Amino acid sequence: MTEQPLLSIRDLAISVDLPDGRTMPIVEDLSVDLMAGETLGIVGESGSGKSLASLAIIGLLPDVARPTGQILLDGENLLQASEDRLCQIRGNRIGMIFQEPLTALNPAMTVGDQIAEGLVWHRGLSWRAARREAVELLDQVRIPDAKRRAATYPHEMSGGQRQRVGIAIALALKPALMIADEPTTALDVTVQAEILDILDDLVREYRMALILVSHDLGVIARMCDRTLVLYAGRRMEEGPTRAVLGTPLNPYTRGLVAAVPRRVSGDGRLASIAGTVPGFARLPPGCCFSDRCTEATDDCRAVAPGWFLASEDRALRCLRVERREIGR
Amino acid sequence: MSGDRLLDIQGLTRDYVTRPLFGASHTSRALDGVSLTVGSGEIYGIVGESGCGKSTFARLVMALDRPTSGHVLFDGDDLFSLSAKALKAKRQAFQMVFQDPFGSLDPRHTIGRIIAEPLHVLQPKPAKGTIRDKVAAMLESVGLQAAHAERYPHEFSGGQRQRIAIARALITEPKLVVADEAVSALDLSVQGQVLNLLMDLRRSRGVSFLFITHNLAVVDCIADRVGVMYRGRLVEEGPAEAVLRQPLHPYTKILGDAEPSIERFGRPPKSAAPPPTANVDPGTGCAFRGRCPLAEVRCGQEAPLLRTLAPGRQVACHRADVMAGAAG
Repeated sequence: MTEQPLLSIRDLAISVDLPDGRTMPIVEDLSVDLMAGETLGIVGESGSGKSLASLAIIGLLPDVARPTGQILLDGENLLQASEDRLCQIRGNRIGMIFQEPLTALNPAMTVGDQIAEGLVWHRGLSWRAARREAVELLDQVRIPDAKRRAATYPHEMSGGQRQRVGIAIALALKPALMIADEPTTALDVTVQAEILDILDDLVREYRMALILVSHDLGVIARMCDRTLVLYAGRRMEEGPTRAVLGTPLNPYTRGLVAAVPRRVSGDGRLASIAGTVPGFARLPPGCCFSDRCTEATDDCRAVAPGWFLASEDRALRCLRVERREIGR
Repeated sequence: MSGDRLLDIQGLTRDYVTRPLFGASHTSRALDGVSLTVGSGEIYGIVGESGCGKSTFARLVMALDRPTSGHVLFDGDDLFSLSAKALKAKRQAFQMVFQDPFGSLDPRHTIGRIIAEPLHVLQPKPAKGTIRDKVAAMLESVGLQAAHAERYPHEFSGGQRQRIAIARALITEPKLVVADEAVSALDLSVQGQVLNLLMDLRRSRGVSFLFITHNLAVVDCIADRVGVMYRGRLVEEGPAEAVLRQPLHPYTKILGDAEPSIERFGRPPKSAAPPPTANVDPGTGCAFRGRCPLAEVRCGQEAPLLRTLAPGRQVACHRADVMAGAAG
C-alpha cells in the first residue's frame, strides 16, 4: 500500500434500541477501505442494512441506532467526533445524494439558495457570490437555462431535474467522498443514464471517492470499480465488480446474479432465491443465509462463517467455499 | 399464441383538460390513438417512461376512466357502451394488479377477506363455504398456505403481498389481468418468483396479461409481444424478442441502450444522440424528433403513422428503414 485510504471502515457494527428496551444488532462486522477516486458499489436487498451503513458514515444515524467500531476519514474517527465537528465534515468533506429527490429538498426555498447555502455556511462566501456559483453548478449537472431555473422551487421541476439539484447540492463543496443512496431508482432509464454519466465525470475530474448504494446490479456494473454485497447486515462478498458479478462465489451473490430478469427459452423458468429476507429478529442460527441457501449443510446452520480472503482482492463469507467444497 | 382477440383496443385517446383559476383552459393529450390487440393466453408488455401514458392506458382498459374517443372491445363487447350493471358483471373477467403491494391491501382486513372481496360482486353470490374453499385454493396456487387467510397484510413481506394481490385478481377466474408495474417494487430475489408465478398461471389457466412496466429486461423475460409507448402514442409493436433484439424505432433503441445490464461493465461509449431539445412544437411532426439521432426535415412536418414493416412488426417512424438496414 503506497497510499492511505480516504475512508476506512473498521469492524463497524450498528445495533438499534427497540421500544421494549432490548437492542437488536443490525449491521455486523463491516470493514472496507476506499481510496480517493475509487468507486464502491454496495448491493443489497431491502433490509440488508445498506442504507443504515451509509447513514453511519455521514453521521446521520437515527438516535436509536448505536454504532461501534471505527469509521476513519483521513485517519479521523467519525464515530468519536463531536456534533460540531461532524457539521464541519458533512457536506464539506462528505456529500450525500438521497433516493427521493422530492423529500430531500426544502419545498419553501428556491433551488439556487439550497445549493448556495452550503457555500455560505462552509466557505464563508457572500450570498451573492454563492448564488452565482449555484447557477454554475446547475449548469454543470446539465439543467438547461440554469440562471432562470435557480430561482424556481422544487415543485416546479421534474423528478430528474430534482435529482440533479440534489447532486448539485452534494457537489457544491467538492467533497472528497460522495455517498449516493439509490440515486436513480425513482428515475426513467434515459434520465438515469445521464445522472450516472454526471457522477462518473465527477469521479474522474475531482478524484472523488464514490459509494453507490443500489439494488440494481446493472447500475453497479456500469459505475463501480469494486462491489460489496450485503445480506441481513453482513457482508457476503467483496471484490472487483467484474469478478463479483461475472464469477460470483458466495451462493447468495450467485442467486442474485441469476435472478436478474432475462429471456428464458422455451418453458424455462427464471432463477429465483426461495423464501424472503428474514427479519433481523428471525435470522437463522449459523450462516444468516442458510435458510434460503440451496448449498447449505448442517454445518452452515450451526457455525457462523467467518470472512476470508479467496484471492488477493476478493473476500467472502461462506463456509463451504472456504472449505473448497463448492464453487472454487 | 392463438389468433383470437380477447382484447381489441381501437384508437384509444384520452385528453385531460386543466382549467386554471385564471387564463384559458389547457388540453393535454395523455393518450393518442392507441390501437392494439391481446390474444387469449398471451402476455403483452407495454413499456415506456414516466409520462408516456401507460398508466392512463391501464385505467382505460380497466374501464376505471372513460376515453375521449376510441373503443375497448373485450371479448367482443365495447366496455364503454355497456350499462353500468352489465359492466360490473363483466368486471369479473378482467382484473388488475397494482404496483404498490403495501398500499393496495387494506391493512385492517384479513388476507382471506381481501382475496374474497371480488367474489362479493358476483351474481349470484357464492355461498360462504364455497368462498372459503376458493380462497384456500387460490392461496395455494400462488405459493402461499391456506392458513394464511386468517392473517393480516402487515405479517407478509413485499413479495408475499404481491402474491396476495395476484390471488385477489385471479379469484374471479378472469380472462385478462392488467398488471401495472407489478414487480417493480420487489427485491431482485423475489421478483423472479413472482414472474415465474405469472408465467405458470398463464400456462395452467390460460390467463392473458397486459403487463405494464418501465423495465425492458422484465418484458424481455415474460412478454410474448411488446408495445413501446412515447408521449401517448404506440411507436413500435411486435414480438418481444424481435423488438428488443432489433429495434426499428430509434426510441426503442435508446431505451435499450440506456438500460443498465450486468453484462455491460463500465461506462458505455457516448451515443451520437443530440442533447434533448425540449422545445419542439408538439403540434406537428414526430413527438420524438427533438431527441432523435436520425431526425430529418420530414419528421418536423409530418407525424409518422404506425405501419407494418415486417410480418407482425409495426413502427411509427419515417426513418425505420434506416434502422432496419443498420440492424440487418
